[in-house]
Amino acid sequence: MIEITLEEQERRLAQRKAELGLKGRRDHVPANSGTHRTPEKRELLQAIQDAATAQGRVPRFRTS
Amino acid sequence: MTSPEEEKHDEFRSEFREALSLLAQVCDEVVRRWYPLPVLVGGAAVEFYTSGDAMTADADFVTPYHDVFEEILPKYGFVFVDRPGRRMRRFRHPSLDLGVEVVSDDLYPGSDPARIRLVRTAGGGRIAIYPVEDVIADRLGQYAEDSRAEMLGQAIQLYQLATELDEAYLETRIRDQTHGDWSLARLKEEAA
Repeated sequence: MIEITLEEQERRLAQRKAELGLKGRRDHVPANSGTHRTPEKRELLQAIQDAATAQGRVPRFRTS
Repeated sequence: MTSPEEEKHDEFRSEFREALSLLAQVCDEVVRRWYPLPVLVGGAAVEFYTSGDAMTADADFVTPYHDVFEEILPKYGFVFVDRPGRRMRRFRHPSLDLGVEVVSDDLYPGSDPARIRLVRTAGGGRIAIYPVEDVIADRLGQYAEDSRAEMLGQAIQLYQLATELDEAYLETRIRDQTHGDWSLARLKEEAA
């Protein structure tokens, strides 16, 4: 295995993003459309969405 | 020039850090019980290699020791989403809004465990993440199968942002995952 810290990965990515003109962006990676999710995966994401909604808030990760 | 707010976008999102840190604690306990580390795959691996907003609300793992991993998850606040007894059970964390499931016993044939990244998180825990070459090949394999544009887009971003690529290994993995439809040269052309 190749060992690395989260901070080191962050530093390397920030440098590469700057070199590629992606500095300051987080939307450079296309999100999954979700069209190929299994029914089980959809249920899991819906359960997370429902639980957050019941607490009156938006889920912290994308569920759609 | 980028604003301080934009510069934060070059860091991992706080919720991603929290998720990795908690999952690393779970994985550490797996190792303390003398089982091998589960390997994080899928969208969470894409986010780790891109620091983009690619992770949906679930973290997919590969391990043949489902029962051990799934027995530990509730100790760290994860709850069952469905009935116990299914071979592959699903969990969610009520405050992190994070789902976790084991999606397979084994990595794809041909994956090299020596290329797995062993990531130390801020809390000191360690989490194993699928090699970037395999994640790229997996995305290309999915694109070759069903032409989802986002899969090709993710493969290109992963390739462009990677800093320690083993190109010979990547070439092998791409050919395996796309049944020979794609090569590293073709990916480079797409990324140019």
